[in-house]
Amino acid sequence: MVTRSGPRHLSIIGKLVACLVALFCTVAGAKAEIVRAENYHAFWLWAGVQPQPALQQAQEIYLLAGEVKGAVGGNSRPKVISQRSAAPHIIGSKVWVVYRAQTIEWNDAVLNDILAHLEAWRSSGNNIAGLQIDFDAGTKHLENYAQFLKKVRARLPTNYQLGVTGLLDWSAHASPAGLQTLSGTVDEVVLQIYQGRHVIPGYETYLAELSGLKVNFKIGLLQGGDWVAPPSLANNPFFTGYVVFLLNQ
Amino acid sequence: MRNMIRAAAFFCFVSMFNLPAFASGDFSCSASMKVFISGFSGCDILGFLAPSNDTRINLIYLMANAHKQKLSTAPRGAGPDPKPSDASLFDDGWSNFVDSFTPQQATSSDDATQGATGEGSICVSDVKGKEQFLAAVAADNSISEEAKAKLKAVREAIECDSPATNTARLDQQVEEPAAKEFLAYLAAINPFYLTDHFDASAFAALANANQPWVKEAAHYMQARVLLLAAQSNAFDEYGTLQKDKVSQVAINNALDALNAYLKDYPTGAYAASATGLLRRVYWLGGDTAKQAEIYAKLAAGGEVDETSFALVNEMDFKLPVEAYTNSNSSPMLLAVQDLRLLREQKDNDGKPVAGVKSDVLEAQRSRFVSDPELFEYLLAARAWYVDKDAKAVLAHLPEKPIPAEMSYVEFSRQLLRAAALDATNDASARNVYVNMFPAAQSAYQRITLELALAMFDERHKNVGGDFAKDSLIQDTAIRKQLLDYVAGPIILRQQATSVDVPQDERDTALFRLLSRDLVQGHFKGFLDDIKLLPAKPVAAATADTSQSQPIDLFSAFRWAGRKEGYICPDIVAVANILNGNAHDIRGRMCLADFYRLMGVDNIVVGDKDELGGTGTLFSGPPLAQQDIFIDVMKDKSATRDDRAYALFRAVHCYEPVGHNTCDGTDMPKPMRKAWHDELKGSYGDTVWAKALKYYW
Repeated sequence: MVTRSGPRHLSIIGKLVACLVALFCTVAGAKAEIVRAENYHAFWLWAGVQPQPALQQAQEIYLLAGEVKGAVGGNSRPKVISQRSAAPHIIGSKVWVVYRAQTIEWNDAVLNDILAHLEAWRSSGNNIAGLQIDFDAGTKHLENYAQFLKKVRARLPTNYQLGVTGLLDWSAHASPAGLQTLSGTVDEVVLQIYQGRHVIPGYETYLAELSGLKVNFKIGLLQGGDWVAPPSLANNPFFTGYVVFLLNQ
Repeated sequence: MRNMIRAAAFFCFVSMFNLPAFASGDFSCSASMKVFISGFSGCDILGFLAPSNDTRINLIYLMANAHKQKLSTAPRGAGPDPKPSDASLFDDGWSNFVDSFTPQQATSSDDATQGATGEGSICVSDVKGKEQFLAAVAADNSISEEAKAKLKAVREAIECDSPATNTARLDQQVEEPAAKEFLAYLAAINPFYLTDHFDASAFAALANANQPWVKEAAHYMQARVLLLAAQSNAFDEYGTLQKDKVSQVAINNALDALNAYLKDYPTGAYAASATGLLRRVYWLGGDTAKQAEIYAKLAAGGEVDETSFALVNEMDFKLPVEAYTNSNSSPMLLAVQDLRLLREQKDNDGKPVAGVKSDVLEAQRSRFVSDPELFEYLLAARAWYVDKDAKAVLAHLPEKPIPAEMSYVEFSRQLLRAAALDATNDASARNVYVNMFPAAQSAYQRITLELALAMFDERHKNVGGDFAKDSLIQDTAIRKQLLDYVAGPIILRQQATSVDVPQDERDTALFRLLSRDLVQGHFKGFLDDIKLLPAKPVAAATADTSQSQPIDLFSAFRWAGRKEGYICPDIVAVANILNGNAHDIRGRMCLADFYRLMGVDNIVVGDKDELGGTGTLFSGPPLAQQDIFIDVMKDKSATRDDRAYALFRAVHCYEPVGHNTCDGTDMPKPMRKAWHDELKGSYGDTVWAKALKYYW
């Protein structure tokens, strides 16, 4: 049962519900295209999702390796739980090793495990691009998150990049200082901008407001979802492409 | 089922706007405040056999139920409502559920690394295997000390997966027959640990060894190597199992070898491991019937303990959906799947899919002969969730005495029966809820029951009772929800000044009281209530650490007004003006500025079917910012500056992306343009017209 508390909470609910209804109109006129995997070159492959032929053309594969769980109340020790049945042997594509993090209160053992995992996959012949951390860093925690990522960056061998998934509302609510710290630390952010199979209405505005984030970003799409690229996107020097979240067909 | 969970988890992040408790402003999922949820959000944990629960939660309940076991969550420092401090983007109720049973201070030191490399490794057995080998050699009295030393040296030189540093020399001379067998065993494991993981012949050759430890270990290793061989091509380049690439012949060889080992050594040193490997063989070989049988046995095998969560996870990962209904399955697994089917399903276009028909469940009756109470509950749940037929629920669930402690099936039956009584306007419903309290001892039962009773009382206009001294409603989040969304001035004043409740609750009540006084136009009440405002700043409560912390919880109500631009007195003076004349223009415009600048909500409403959904007991319609602006625009007695400022603010309500952030209804775009044009045209000389650049 969630604590749904705090005066600020309530205002945000009301406003977001209102914003939803209204924002929907802003994209209603644009013609959405369905995201087809064969038109893209980077993919998330999550646990339980069957590989698809489109992966053969992938330049980058974001492969869920495991989850970091635990640390309720900050006292218990976090744990790494693997989400893959066997080590991959991917030829031709770069592999991002993705960890879904429930907590960022990692102890040394967690980071050691993850670094060992990266090395194990690399020594199995995979071309490892880096580590992607998927954590729901609420905007108010963004500065803590940036501190955490700095620590990870310091331990991560320099031949690996550090990536994170990012939330659209970072652009709207995050403090500039928080975003700035992030910029110096991570090599890329993949923004997740979906609501069901549809792009979050008003995403163009959010993206436009992302100017505070001086870091390469990709946009996460959902296989079979809608997508309309805002015209300004192609001219954004920090935009480096798309990652499609594959779903079982 | 894993696929569905994963997909659902993903949709948890992508569908956050659909979630009722999208409360924090972050795009994450959190639980909803209701007892009966039609779909599956992945976020909710309820203390009964609920279709909306993660299937793994229901399975844990049924496992506990089978042993009439009481589950207890691990104690927490901070209140009865365990929650991780942060939720992952793909977070789900299951993680929170497991965490709530996990002691904060874990004691074992090695489990942090266990499972980190879940893809498995042949080296997993190296360390223990070495210990066992050395112990067996040491214990064999037929071997000379000299030979023992040689064997020890060879074993210690074998280094798993490191051909470069492996210095094992197997060309040792030993005399005793047992020593020769130990050496032969080392000759078998050396290539196994280094290069050749799929050749069982050297282990097979030791099948008739006389040394008993060598014989048993080789027997087990033969089976293990056959299994490794069977799965050698089973995983594709992404590490995903491809069942069509699994050789059935090889799988059968592994199966025979494991069964042969277990037949000879039913309580052997490796029996537990071999039994575990059997599950892997059935998974790899796609024998879902065997999987169902073995998992059904395991699930029914013992009480829920810390290993149960891993087992349930494994089942979720490895056991396909169709296996749950397989004839080798058990009522427990069948019930898990039946409950899942009671969820409201939608197709890709979002259209509801027809729910399960009663004959589908009736056809399973014979399979539930061992557990008729569970079966009747499933029938009742179907009537409730699919047919929405409370009378049918009551027909399935006749009145039964409440035992001293309720199992999960008993709790589910009583809870659903009480809800059905209420739905048929039977006044005894409340008594059923109340009588369940002493017996709601197992994890998540009490909080679910509190939520049910709180919703009942809210819908029967008895929220006051929930704040009486002896109230059964103790959960902080539930009480807070009632205070924020429902409570009227009497309850809020009572709780704001009560010495019987924690400071946090007093603060919540006072904040809401002062906000509602203003929003609902109770200015006289505000002028009385503001006297309760603490003189010193109040730090926001600890329960709110997930929120940005205002330095002072009540800073809004210390608003000093504005000395430049559109000038406003402080908030008490504003309330004074409005108490004298509720239509005072500057008073109302300043109130709107107060809302906007201090972030005080002027309309707080809950979702209709959730706790708090019946709305506030405060009288009078809420005063929305936009309504104030529209009134002032039209008000002949307003000054040019007032009207210009009202237009300016009304246009800005739609900044930055064209939705109304000032509450009140959404005005169409032409209206917003008309405001803009009027300000620019008729009031072009005002600072407000000059400051306005766009409309949205």
